[in-house]
Order: sequence, then C-alpha cells, then structure tokens
Amino acid sequence: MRNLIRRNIVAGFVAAATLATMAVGLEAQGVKIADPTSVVMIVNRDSNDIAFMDIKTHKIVGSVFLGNNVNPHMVMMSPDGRYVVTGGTRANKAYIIDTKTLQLVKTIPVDIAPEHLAFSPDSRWYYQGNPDGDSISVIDMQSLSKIKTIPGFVEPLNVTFLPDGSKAYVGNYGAHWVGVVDVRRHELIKKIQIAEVPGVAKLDPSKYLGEIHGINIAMPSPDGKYLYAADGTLGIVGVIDPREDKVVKHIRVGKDPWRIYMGHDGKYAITPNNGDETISIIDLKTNSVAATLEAGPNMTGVNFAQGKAFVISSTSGFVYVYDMNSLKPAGRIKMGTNIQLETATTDTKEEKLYLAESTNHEVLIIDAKTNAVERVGHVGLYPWGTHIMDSKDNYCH
Amino acid sequence: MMNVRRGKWDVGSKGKVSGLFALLCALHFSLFTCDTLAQGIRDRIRGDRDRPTAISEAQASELTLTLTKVEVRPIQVWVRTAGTGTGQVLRAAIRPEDAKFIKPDQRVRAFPPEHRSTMYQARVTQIVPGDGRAEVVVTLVAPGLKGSSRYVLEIVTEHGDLLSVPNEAIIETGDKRVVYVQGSEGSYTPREVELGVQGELFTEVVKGLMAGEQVVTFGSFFIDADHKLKGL
Repeated sequence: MRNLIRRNIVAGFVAAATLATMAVGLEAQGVKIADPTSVVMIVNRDSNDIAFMDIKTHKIVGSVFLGNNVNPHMVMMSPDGRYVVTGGTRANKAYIIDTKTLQLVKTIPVDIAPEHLAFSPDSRWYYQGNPDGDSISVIDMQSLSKIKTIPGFVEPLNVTFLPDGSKAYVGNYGAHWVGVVDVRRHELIKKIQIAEVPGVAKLDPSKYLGEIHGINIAMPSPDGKYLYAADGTLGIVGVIDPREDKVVKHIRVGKDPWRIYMGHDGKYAITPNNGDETISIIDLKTNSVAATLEAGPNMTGVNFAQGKAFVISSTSGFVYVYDMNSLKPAGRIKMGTNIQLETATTDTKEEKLYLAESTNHEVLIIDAKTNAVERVGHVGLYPWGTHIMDSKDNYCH
Repeated sequence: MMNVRRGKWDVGSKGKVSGLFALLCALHFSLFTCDTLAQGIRDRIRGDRDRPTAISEAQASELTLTLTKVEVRPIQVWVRTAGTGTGQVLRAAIRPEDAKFIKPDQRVRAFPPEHRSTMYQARVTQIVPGDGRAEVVVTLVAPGLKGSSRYVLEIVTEHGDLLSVPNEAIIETGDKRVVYVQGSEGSYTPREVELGVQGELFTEVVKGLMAGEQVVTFGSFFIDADHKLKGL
C-alpha cells in the first residue's frame, strides 16, 4: 500500500515536471497562443494594435503594435489559424502576424485606404479591399507577398468567396453592381448590376456619385446556392445565382439597408435599414420579407445566438433584440449612455457576443441567453471590431 | 494522263528490280532521315535541362512571377473525412497514419453538405485506433444544422517544422518532381527534388534544395513551358 502511494506520488511529480517542461518549452519557442480558437482578436484603431483576449478568462494575453498612424480597420485569422491579418487604413499597408508567436512577420504596401478583407477557403489568398484606391490587392499567403492589384471597382467594401474558392464577389459601395472575380486568374470577369439606377442619377451621375449608398457585401446563403446583395440607395436586396452570375430576384426592404446578415440556421437573413430605423427579416426559402420591425438609429451590425438576433445601434447605446422564432421584438439592452458601439462577433458556442465600444475603450460581453453584460476595459484605444476564429458572425463596419 | 501516271511503274522486269531497289533505298533513307530528324526535335525539346532559362522583367510582371524562400516552416496536412452521427457527436473513419497526428480536443471544421458555406466548429473527443482503419469521434461545440446528421470534417494536423516549398512550386514531369530555382537575376534553373510530407500549402523537400534558395511558385508552369519552348 505504502509502495503504491509512493509510486503515485512519484508519478504525480513526473507528470507535473513534464507539464512544466512542456510549458517552458513552448515559452522558449516563443509560443504565445497555442490554440488559435482560444482568443478574441480586438482591432484597436487609435492605439494601432491588435489585442488578443483569452475567451475563458477575459484577460488580454498579448497585443501586436503595428506602427504609428496605421489605423487598422478589420482583423481576421486565416482559416488554417496560422496568421492574423489586418489592413492599415492610414498607412496603406497590409499587416501579417504569426498567430503562435504574435510576431509581425510582414508588412505589405497595398492600395489606398485598405479596410475590409477576406481569405479564400483554403487560406491560400488574402484579398484586401482598398475603397479609396477602388481596387483589391491579392496577397499570396505562401510567399507572403502581393502578387496583383485588381482594378476597376468603385469603393469596394467587402469580399466573399464561394465555398469552393473558385470565385470571389465584391460589393461596391460607390456603385450598384457586384464584381465577380475569377480566383484562378485574379481578374474581374463580370459586373452584376443589382437593379436599374434611378433616372435622376442617370441624368447627372457626377452629382449623385458621392451620395450613392451602393452595395456593402454580396453575402452567400448558408447553403451556398445564392448570394444576397442589399443596395442602400435603391432599398432592395438582389438575389444572385452564382451559377450564371445573374440577379434572379429583387426583394424590396426598408430605406437605406446597410447590408445583409445571414442567420445561422439558414432560415432568415436581416437587413438593418438605417433610412427608416427598421429591420427587414427575409425568409430565405421564399426570398421574401417575412417581417419588418422597428429598430434604432445608425445600425452597424447584427449577430445571431440562442435563437435571437442582436442588432447594434451604434449611437443610441442600445442593442435591439429579436426572437427569431416568433419574428417579434424581444426588448433592447442598454449598453451605456453617450457611448459609441462598433461591431461584434459571436463565439462558436453561440453563447456570448463580444462587442467593441470605442468611447470607453472596452469590449462588452453579452450573454445571449440572459442578456447580461460584462465589461472588459483597457483593451486598447478605440476598439473598432472583434473577431473569433470560426465564428459565423465575423464582420466589420 | 494515264501513261504519265503509269510511266514510273510500267517498265520491264529489269526495270522492276531496279525500281524495287530504288524504293527500298528511298524507304531506308527516309526512315533513317526521319529517325534522325525526330531525334533532333526530341533533343531540341528536351535540351540541356540544367541550363537556366531567362525571364525578362516584363515577362515576369505579365506572369505575376512569385518567388518563395526554401525554409523550415510548419507543415499542416488537412485530413478530410465524412462524419455521421446523432446530436452533436459525429464519428468518422480516418487512415491510421493520419490518426497519429490527431490530438484530443483539437479543432475540427464541420460542413453540412446541404449548407456548404456554413462552418460548424467541433472538437476531437476520441481517437480509436485500428488496423487498416482508425476512427475519430468529434463533438460539435454548438448544436449543428437541424435535421443534418452528415458532415464533411476537416482536421488540420501539424507535422512539425520541415524544410519545405509551396506546393505550387512543384512541377510533375513523368515520375520526376522539378522546381525552378532562381539563379542570377532573371534566370531560373530546373532542379529535381525528392519530396516528403505533402501539406495543404507546403511540401517537405527531402533532397535537392537548400534553405535560403528562392523557388518560383506562381508562374512556375509558364517558366517550364518557356524553358521547353526555348529548347534549353
């Protein structure tokens, strides 16, 4: 018996020593993040860094400073978890960070004012949108170099890839068309006009060019059969069939829809309509509006969790909640007064939302079940957005 | 007209023999010449494989020529398999050699075939070894797609840090694997390599390259074509 106890104690010591050695070993190798799914990435616009917050402890475990006057806009992790990338809007550069070591491994000059970005599903290509340069920079993630700049867009805001990675779709906020890019050749091969522009814009396009609220994103439906593109000025959602790259249906929604957000179960999608402070819930089976509900001003995002939709009203300090089963309002959560809410991501368990709040430099964690809010301060200056690997709600303004 | 056509053949027996002799000579000559010519073309096509091909700056820009360093980097192999199950627990068959690199609690990407653009995160809960076939049990971190019991599973396995080149750099010619290595400015030499672990983006190089050398990735196919066309 005594021998058994002694043996257990020895075994315990050996195990502890092994674990300690492993931890020291990892640290010695400079490993700061062993599991890329364990962190929330926070893009801090004014402190010019990307902060990494542990999902379990809500502690900042590291941050990567990008340089002075960079103003990173959106952060994203490659699907293989190897790199974290961001576009520096003021620096006109793309930044590539090694996830494990949190080392800035490459800075690549791109076009003017890089903002939103996307990865091809195989992590091979990183498409960086440059709204002021009217172009997309193609970055090869094997050589970590820019191989091409695709011109011909008009304020390209967001890029989405087909699940097979063959084509990419670019929303042009300064126009009413979606650009189709052949990913093999990295060339703009087609412009899909979402609808006819109003006659008045046709008469004097230069007068109305600055006022165009065009297409923010062409979002694939969860089954990948269609893409949905909301046009702000026209107040419609165009349904695109990617087999022929044609608009097969128009859905009229509220005034000035910001963009479309897909529900996780594939039943509904939502457009926040900033023109009339409503949301339109679209039934993806029938491609028609199932409900139009009141919302708040200046909506910047929609997240889905626990059978609810959470709509961020950036300037009111409220997050509006909707029951996605009954398609009815389910109250609103007061996040604070005189604050500016930015965008949020949802964890993969679909239990919590991580919302960036730029006024007080904090991240607000919303429990999707109870609507309780936890505040994590001092995350960096002017947190602009958040990102979690594999989240279904990774987006930016 | 008929006479003219027949003229060559319409001769006496002596003439027939000499005609036949002439025909055989011509046939032999033509075969010999064709053979020589064919050999010449093949030689010209095959050329001296070790000589570099030169690419001008304009061509390089046209081809979006991209170079990548040969270096030691982590190689990931994405194991893809079909998982089935009820609720959040899914089971899938994998190869025993892949099972060695899969660890419990490892991240898995699960895609229902009917919702191809929606990814569900899962974790490895168990690896069941077996002869000829192993099994992996994974659990979705959140409820999956309603009514769906089948998923395509993607498991990213780490094979360690190995001397490697991007997959795109490798050109397969018959049973040989060739990469184009940058020599002096603008010149590229084909080099035969021996490969090891083939990852999703990078492949291990066992023999033929040294760390620090630059190989052509994007555009290697065009350089290869150019190399062959120039008969170098």
